[in-house]
Amino acid sequence: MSLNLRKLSREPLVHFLLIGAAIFVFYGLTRDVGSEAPNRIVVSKGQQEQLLANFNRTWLRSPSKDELAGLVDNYVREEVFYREAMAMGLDQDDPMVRRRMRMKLEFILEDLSTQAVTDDNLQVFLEKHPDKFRAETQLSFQQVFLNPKKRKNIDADAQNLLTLLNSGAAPNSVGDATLTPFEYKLATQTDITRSLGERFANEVTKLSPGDWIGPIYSAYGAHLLKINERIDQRQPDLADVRELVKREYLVSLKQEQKDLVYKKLRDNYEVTLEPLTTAPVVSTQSPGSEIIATAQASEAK
Amino acid sequence: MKIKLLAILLCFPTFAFASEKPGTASGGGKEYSPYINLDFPQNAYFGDTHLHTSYSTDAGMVGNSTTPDMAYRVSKGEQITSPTGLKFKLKRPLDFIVISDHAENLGLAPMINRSDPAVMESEQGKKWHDMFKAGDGYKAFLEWLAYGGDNNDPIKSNKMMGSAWNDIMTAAEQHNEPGVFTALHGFEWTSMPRGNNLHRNVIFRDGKDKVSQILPMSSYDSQDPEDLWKYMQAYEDKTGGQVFAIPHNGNISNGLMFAPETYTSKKPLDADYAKRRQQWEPIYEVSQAKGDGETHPFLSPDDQFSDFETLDQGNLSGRAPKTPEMLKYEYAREALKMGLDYEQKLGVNPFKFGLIGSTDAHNGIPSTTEENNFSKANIVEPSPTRFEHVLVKGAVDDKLSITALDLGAAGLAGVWAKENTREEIWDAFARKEVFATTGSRIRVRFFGGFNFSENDVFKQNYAQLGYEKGVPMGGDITKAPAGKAPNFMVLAVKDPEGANLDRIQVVKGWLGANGKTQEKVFDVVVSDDRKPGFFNKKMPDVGSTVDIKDASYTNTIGDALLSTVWTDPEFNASQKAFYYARVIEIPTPRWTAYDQKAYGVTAPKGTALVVQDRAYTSPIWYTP
Repeated sequence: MSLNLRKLSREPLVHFLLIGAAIFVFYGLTRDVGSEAPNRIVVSKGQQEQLLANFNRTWLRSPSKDELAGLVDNYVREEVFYREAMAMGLDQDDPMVRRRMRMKLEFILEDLSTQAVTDDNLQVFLEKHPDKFRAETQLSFQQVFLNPKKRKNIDADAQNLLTLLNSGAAPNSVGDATLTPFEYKLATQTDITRSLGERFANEVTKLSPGDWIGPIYSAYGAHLLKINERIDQRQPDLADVRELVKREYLVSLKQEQKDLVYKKLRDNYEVTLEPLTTAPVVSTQSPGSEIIATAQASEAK
Repeated sequence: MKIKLLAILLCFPTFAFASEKPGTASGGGKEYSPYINLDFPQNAYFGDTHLHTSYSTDAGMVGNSTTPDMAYRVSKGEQITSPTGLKFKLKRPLDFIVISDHAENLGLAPMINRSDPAVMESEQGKKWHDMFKAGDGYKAFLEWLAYGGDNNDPIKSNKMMGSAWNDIMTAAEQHNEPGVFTALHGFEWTSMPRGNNLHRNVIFRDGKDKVSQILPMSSYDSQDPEDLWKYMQAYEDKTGGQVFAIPHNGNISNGLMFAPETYTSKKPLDADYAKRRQQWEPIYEVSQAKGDGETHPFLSPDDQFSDFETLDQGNLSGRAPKTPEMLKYEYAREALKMGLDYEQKLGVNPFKFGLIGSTDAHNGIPSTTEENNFSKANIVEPSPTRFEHVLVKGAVDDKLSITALDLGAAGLAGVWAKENTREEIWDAFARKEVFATTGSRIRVRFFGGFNFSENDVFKQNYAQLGYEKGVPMGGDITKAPAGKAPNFMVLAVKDPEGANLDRIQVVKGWLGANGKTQEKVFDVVVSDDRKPGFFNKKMPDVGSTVDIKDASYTNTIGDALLSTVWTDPEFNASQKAFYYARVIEIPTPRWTAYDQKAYGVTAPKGTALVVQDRAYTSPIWYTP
C-alpha cells in the first residue's frame, strides 16, 4: 500500500488525528508545567468567574459574599478530594469514569469534525453527491383556470381565452375560481407538484417563457399559462448552498468517520479474549413475547 | 334584462376594484398588474404539528429509533428506513412540522444509548441504563411508566433535559429553511391523570435564541393545564417570544378535556379561566391516529357522517371505560357549542378554537394517507400480523385496549399563509386561519360576511373579495344588518393526487332562545348535480367505486372542485352561533383494505374497510 501524501493531507480523518494529537500534547504540557505543586491549590480568577456564572444561571442573580465564600470552599473541598482520590488511583476501573472519558474523547472527535469543514472538503463532497444538491428547475408563471364543471366546451373556451389573453386581456377578468395561487414565483417542480399534482408539474416544467399557452390539464381542470421566467435545473455553486452542504457533510462525517477513527485507534491494540470458564447466559425472551410486551406498553405513558 | 345587468356587473368589478384598492398605486401612477400587493394568504401549506422521535421516552425505549434529524428528512421527502426496517417515503414532502417529543424525561432513550453522564448521574437513570444495556430495556420502560404525575419525576435532571432539548432545538435550526420548509420548536406536555388524556403540544414562534432560554415543562412539574399557561406566560415575559398550546384527544380524556370545572380547585369555569384558555389554546387538534374528535354519533344522531374513525372505548391507558355522559366534554363540536353558552354567562368563550389535524406518530414518520399508512408506532407499522397488534393494552380490561385496527391513517394541518416561514405559519395558527384534514391534502377556503353575492365565488379573485367583504375561517362576524342573514363563501378542491369530493357541508351550532345549544348540518354543495329526494328531502349518497379486493377506487364519481355561496336560512340575529365547513371525499379503501391486498390477509369481521376522508375548517363565530 503506497501512501499518497497529498491525498492524505486532504483526508478529514488525518485532520482529526493530527489536531487530536496536538490537543493531547497541549493538555499534557499545561498539566506538567503548571504551577500547582501537589500541596498547593490556586483558585484562579477564571475559576472564580466560572463559579459566579454557574450560580447566576441557576439563581438568576449574583451570590452574596457568604454564598461566594461557600462556593469557593466547596470548590477547594472538591479539589482536595479529587487529588487525593486520584493519588489513590480511585479512578481506575470505575465504570462511570471510564464512560465519562470515552464520552469526552468522542465529543472532542466530534468537535474536531467541524475543523474538517474547509471549502475544499465541501467542494469535493458537493461534487460527490450531485443528486443531493441539484437545484430543481424553477418557473415563474401566471395561470388562468377553467373549471370543466362550469363549461360545456372547455377546449373551445380555452382557445378563445388564449386569443383574448394574448391580445392583452387582463388575466383576472377571465377564467374560473381555483384554490391555487394566480401567480407562481420561481416555483420548483416540487412546489408545483404539491399544488397541482405530479402529471401537471411534469408538463409545465417542459415549458419556456413566451405567450399564453395551454390548456394543460391538472386533476382539477384546464389551465392556461404564461411562463414569465425559467431557470433550468443546475448544479449549484458551493457559495449558494454552503450551509446545506456543511450540514450534510457533518452528518456524514459523524456517522462514518467516527467509526473510522475508532478503527484506526483500535488497530494500535492487540486484543485477547480469554476463554470463559462457565457457559454464557443466553436471553430467554423470545421475539414473540417481545412484540406482545412492547405492544402493551407503548403510548401507555 | 336581469341577466344582461349581471353580465355587465360581472365584467367590471374586478377592474374597478383593482384601481380603488389602496396600496396599488405606486409613485402616483397605478400598477397594471392586478397581482401587485396582494396582501393576503394565497397558499395552503400542509404539515404535522405532532410528531415524536426517539427522544420521547414512550417511543425511544420501545424501539422507535428515528432521530429528530431523520424525522425532518422524511418530512422533507427523503426516503428513510423505519424502526421496523421497512423503507418509507412520503408521496409529497410536507411544508412544515413540529417535533413534539414528550417532555417527561425528554431524551432518556438516546441518553441511555450513549451512556450520557446526564443519565448516569441519576441513581434511577443508571439503573435503567444498566437494565437496557443488559437487554432488559423493556422492563426498564415498564418501571419508568409506573412513574408520573405531580412531583414524581424519577430522574429530575435539568442537565439531561437541557442536553436533550439542545439536541432537538439544534435539529430544528438545521432543517428550518425559510421559504421552503418550516421547523417550529415545540414539545408535548403529557398530563394524563388516572390515564385520562389532557396532553398539549406547546409550539413556539421563535428561534433557538429565545427557546433555549427555557426548558420544556413536564407533567412531573404539574398536571394542571393552568400551570402550563403560567409557564407559557413566564416564557413570553422572559424572552419576549410567543407560544401557544394545542390540546388533543379529548376522546380518550374520559370527560376531562372540556370539563365544566377547573382541574385542581374543581371550581366552575369562570371568566378569568375562560380568558386564559382562549388566549393560550387557540387551536384544537381535532383529528389524529387515535381517533377523530369532531363529534360522536351519540352527540350528533342526525349527522350521517358523525361516525368517522371513532375511538371511544375508554381513556388513554385503558384504565376506565367510557360512559355516555362523558362524551359531551370530549368532542370539538360540542365544546364549540358549550363555548357559546359560557360566553353568554361569563362574557368570555373558553372554547373558541380553530381546528387542525396531525399524526401523533411515534416512529418519526408522518404518514397520513390510507395507501401508505405507517401508523402510530413501530409496533403498528405495516406487517402481515398488524391486524392483531395492540398499541395500548387496556390496564384493567382487554376491551379497553387501543388496537392497530382502531387507528386511523391521519391527519394533517392545513394553513393559509403568505409564505412558508416560522412567523407566517405560527401567525396563521394564532389567528385560526387553519383547517384539519384526516390525511389527504384537500384545500378549503371559507369566508363569512353579510354581503357576498352568489357569483363572488366563481370569480377568479374570490379570495380577495373574501377578505374585503368578510372574514376568513377563524374570524368573527357581528351585528347583522337589519333583515340580513350571514352568508358564507366556501370552496374546496380535492387532493391533486387523491379522491374526488362528495360534498361540502356547513355545520352550524347556536345558542337557542331557551338557553340550550343546538346544532345542524347543511349540505351546501354536492357533487354530480345531485338533488335532495322529493319526499324525504335527503341528499342521495354519492355512491362508491371502491373495489375492496383490489384496494382501489376511481374518480368517476364526485367532483374535483366544489364551491358555493350559502346563506343561513334559519338565522336569528339575536342568537350566538358558529359555522364551520366540512368537506367529504368520495369513499376510498381504508388502510385496512390496502393491508389485506398487500399481505394477502383478511381483516377480522366488523373491520372498517372503506373510509370517507374529510376536512374541517376552523369556525367563524357570529356574535349579536
